[in-house]
Amino acid sequence: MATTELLASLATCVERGKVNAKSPFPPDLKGQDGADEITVRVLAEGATPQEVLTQALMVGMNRVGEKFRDKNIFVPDLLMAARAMSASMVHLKPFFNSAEVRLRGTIVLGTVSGDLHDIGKKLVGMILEGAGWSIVDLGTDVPTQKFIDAVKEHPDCIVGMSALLTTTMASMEESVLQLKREFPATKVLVGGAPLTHEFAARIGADFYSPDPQGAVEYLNTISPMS
Amino acid sequence: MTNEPLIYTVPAASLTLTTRDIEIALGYSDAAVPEYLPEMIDEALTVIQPLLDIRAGFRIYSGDDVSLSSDALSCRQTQLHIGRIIASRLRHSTSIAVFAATIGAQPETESHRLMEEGNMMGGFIVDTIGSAYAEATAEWIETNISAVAGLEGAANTNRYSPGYCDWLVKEQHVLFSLLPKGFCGISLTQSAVMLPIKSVSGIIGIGSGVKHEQYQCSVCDMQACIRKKLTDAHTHTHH
Repeated sequence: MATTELLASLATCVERGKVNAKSPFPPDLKGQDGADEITVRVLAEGATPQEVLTQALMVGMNRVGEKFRDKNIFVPDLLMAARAMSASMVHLKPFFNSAEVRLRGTIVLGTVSGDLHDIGKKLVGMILEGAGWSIVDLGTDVPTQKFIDAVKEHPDCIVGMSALLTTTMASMEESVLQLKREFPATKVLVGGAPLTHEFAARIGADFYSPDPQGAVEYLNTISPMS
Repeated sequence: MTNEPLIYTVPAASLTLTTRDIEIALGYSDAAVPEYLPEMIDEALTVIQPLLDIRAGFRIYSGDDVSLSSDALSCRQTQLHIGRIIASRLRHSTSIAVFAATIGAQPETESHRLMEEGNMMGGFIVDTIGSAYAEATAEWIETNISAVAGLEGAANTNRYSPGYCDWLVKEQHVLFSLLPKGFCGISLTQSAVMLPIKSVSGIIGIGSGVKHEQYQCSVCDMQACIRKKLTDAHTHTHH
């Protein structure tokens, strides 16, 4: 099979959540190689790790993000796709410290102070990782200073903040305000069920999207990847 | 009607949650369920059931202890700013049941443990089942309140919680001041998060002139309402 066909197959494995040959899911791909085996094969055939990332994994995850946004698939499908992507990434990790794999950049993610909700933020992190970003997850109940320290540590990063309660939207406002005061050029994205475009604009955030794919598309415009 | 706080320990077996219920909670109300999912749900149900510590209870305020305005409810000297929509639904209530329910902290801990181990799928399914059990517990306590009301020939309204229909989440603190400290083992953080997280609280109106209605998000224009966003998403999925 030619390299381009293997890359296309790998993108399909990610999209469909086909982890490896042993995985019986999805049933129509049962017995066939999955993301794990195809990554090994395509690298052996001469594809570069960067090509695997941009022409297969990111393509597959972008389709997943679009389907998720359009509510054609749900969180379990997304998690299965992330599993397939991880199975492939295992083979790319050795190239991460060399110049052979270039990511788009770093995104620092955290749920704002007072808020303990974690899962939505984690899902966003997975989709952004699938779009070629390195994710630094600060966890939940993140005080403003921790966001500021993370920006100092990753100077060119983008910051993503999550809040799931109206009571913690005030923490988000405070964190955005202080972060922008210290690092006006740092892009800040916000998300979470009770948020609105109006709120995001009022607190000085650069972008809000009700779904992760919106963030992916916005970030693609900031940091296009060849 | 008793004004004493009542607390029940609820056996998990009293709350019937099926694999199909969880599939729907995960989004697959109409869409085809992935082949791997039913087995994962069954496994997670087995994991979560021994971890459940379900407690639910209520306290009823009646007669002169209760007064309603166009946008607020007073129980004794405590005022809840419930907003116009909920106040209109509670109109004609002669008693108010303040309730809380929880499934305990262990399911949440197990969900975190699985995710920290890298099993996001298992952790997410356990979390979803936990939420479904919390909602089922709220349903259970509503049924009990309904039975108490029925004994006196009264009906009850829907249950309403802080965060819905213009009733601010921060009012959880006021709501819980109407219940004994540590009611059902639930505490509040400063930002009004209930701990254990898988807990539900709220109020239910009781009276001969009230009725239980279909939940109508269309009457509310609250932009930040999570319930409305979820309902819209659900509707979008259907159509």
